[in-house]
Amino acid sequence: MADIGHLILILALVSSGYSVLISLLGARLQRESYLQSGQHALYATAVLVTLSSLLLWQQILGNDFHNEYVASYSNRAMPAFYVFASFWGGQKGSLLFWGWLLTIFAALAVYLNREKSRELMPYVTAVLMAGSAFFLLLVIFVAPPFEKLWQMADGHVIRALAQPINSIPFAPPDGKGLNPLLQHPAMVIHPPILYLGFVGFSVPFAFAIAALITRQLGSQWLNLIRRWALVPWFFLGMGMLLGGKWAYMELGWGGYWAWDPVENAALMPWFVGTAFIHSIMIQEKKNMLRVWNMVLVMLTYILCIFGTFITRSGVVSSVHSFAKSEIAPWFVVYLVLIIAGSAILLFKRLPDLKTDNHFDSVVSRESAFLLNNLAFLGALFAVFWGTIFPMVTEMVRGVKVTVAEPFFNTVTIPIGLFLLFLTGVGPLVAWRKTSNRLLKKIFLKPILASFVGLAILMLFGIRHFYALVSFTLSIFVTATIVQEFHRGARARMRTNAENYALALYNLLLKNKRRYGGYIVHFGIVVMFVGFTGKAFDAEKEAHLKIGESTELRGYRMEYLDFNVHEDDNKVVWQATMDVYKDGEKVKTIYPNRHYYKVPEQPTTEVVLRSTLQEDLYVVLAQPNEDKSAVFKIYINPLVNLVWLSGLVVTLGTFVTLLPDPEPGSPGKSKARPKPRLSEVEATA
Amino acid sequence: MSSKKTKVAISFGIVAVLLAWLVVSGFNENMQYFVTVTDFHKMPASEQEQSLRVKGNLVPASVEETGNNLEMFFLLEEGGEQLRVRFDKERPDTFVDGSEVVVEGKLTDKGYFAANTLMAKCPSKYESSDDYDVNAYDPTTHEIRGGTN
Repeated sequence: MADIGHLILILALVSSGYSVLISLLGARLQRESYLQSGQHALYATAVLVTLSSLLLWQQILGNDFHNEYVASYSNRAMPAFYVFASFWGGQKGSLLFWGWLLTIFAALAVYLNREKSRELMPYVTAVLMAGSAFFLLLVIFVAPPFEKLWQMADGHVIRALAQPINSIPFAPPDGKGLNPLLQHPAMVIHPPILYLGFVGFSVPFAFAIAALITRQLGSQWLNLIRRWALVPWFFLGMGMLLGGKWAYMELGWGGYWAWDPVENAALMPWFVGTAFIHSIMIQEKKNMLRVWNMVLVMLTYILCIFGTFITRSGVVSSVHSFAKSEIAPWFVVYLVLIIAGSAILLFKRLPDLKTDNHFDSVVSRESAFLLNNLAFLGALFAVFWGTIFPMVTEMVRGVKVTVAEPFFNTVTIPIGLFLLFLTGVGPLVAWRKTSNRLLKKIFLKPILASFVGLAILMLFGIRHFYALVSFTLSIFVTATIVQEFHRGARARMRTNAENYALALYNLLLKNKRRYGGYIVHFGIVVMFVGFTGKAFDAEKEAHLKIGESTELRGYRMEYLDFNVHEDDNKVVWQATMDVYKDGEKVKTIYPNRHYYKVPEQPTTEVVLRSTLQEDLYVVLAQPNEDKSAVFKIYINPLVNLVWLSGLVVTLGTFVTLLPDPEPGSPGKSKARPKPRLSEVEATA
Repeated sequence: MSSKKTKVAISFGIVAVLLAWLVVSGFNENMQYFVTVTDFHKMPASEQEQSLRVKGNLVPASVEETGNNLEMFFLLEEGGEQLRVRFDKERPDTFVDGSEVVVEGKLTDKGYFAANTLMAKCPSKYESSDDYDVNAYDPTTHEIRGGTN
């Protein structure tokens, strides 16, 4: 008999399939009891998949190497922290993890909205359960994480779900272990966080489909999913940032982003998701772009599935695509189904989505949003094309043609800078049309600040074109944000007799969406400044004997000593270096390499001397017999701002997600937010 | 009214065209063939000397370090054919005997392939093998080598 975990997954598949059917039937026949039953089956599915996941964890933590997955990705020597993470160390566990998160999201989304939108719920349930069923099919038929090892009569060991005839259970004394490169704290949380992003976009997609089917195409469904779109958007972004941090610390090439297909896989839905969370605001305010928003939310979900497909199937050759497996055709079928289904449904509902509103002026909020959307889709198009081009050419011409990394930079840098510009302009210009007089009033100070900043940068000798543009725009956007906060706080001080700090605090909490959004924008500015540091990096390779030293941009590294030591897990080769900055000793560093014994694998252990201004990044590239060694030294200016920006974005997102007070709750007279300058003008 | 609409449409049109131009021009400048070692040897000489990506497996024990900083030569093998590659930057941790290696660069007139970038994937560390052979289990390293039967 197969493992109980596997049997539970089969039950979950049955339950999810039942939920789809009974919900659709209930909606057609208008039977409340059927709809209830569908929702209960959805909860049951979530419970079953949870149970199954806990069982896998139990086998992993219990070193049950009879389970082939456990034997492949865990071992006794690994710290408990990493044993825990080997759940998603391989393909089968990852897929189960995906499915698990999806059913949890589904249960939450349905439970929290069950009263708010009774008409949409049957279809939301059906779509979410259909998506879950797809992943359950994969972990049952294609990549089962509960396969066991069996030794046949002739001594061979095979894997199978159930015990083959004439075999005995087999368990190796120890497992193969997680690849040492993946044994890094960021790598433990990076996959779950990224998956929360990938999986979470299923909920807005399900609501969109439900809205289309039921023709409830007003702004109700958008209001319901605003938070459900923001949360996965946030996780997707944070997942990428953590992945970057991991690459920076663990891969030892001095950078954090390489336009690898797997990285692009997460970036693409993030682009479209970002466009979506902006353009829904136009629909809320102006009831415009209704078709467009549908397309965006569908595309985001499709790209999430496509991203999972790229990551897990290995169709695009990449250092990451460690899983060339049989799951590829399944994903292709599922992708074709959701693309065709979405397109047909959208096409049939086009007449219902028509709207009478249109654009009045190029200089308006809605235009800024649309330009933002265009830029994001342009970036998406470039990255998508660059990522799938090898696949396409191989299919069409039989040769793989790739585009090199410079392509992605050439295209995305100008688009990114244009978006940075819009970050400053978009939130401040008025809806419909902005007069020249008003433009001057809003942007005069920020523009002045930018020019002063530009002059100072030039004075310091910066001549790199993109860097100048990026820094100047960063100053511009920061100035607009500061101006908004300042103006709002001053208005509160006048009307509510509050001091400045309290006024700022209340301003933020009374208009969470607007000012939380500004904080997120400021986080993006910090990130851009961090990215721009790349323009000023430096690197050097130095072959040193003990006692020699090398210099790079104000730093002097003196190579003092070399030694080798060994523990159960690995051999460590370690150099000792003193770092001097402008003649003063600032730190002693120990660049080293580990040689893991199981599996046999060297890992570079990067050492940093980190300041906000720059990282000194030293790698022991090649130790030699005579104790001389080759070091690779990088200076990465401003790189820490990239990580720091994650905290700012987190804070801003958190503010926008805080619940609003219920309208009409006692003691909370609906405080009118200070109208934007542009709004005063528009009504005047 | 309609002239306003045209103005807006034209503005967006210009942005869209600019974006498209950016993508297409960037694309054409950065295309390169991605071939295996066998494909590489079948290519005409003129194509071998343009910038290429070549994939093969690192021939065990073929790495020769010249002692000149990180410079090294090694052999890539695929489908019975081999290619000699020079690389002088830091090698990735995944670059070990048998690794699947992708190099980017071009053939030089000295007969070797000068690589600017090198990517490597461990032979079997990420993937689990389909079969286990109990006889292949090594109690000292705890390694289970995947059988082929």
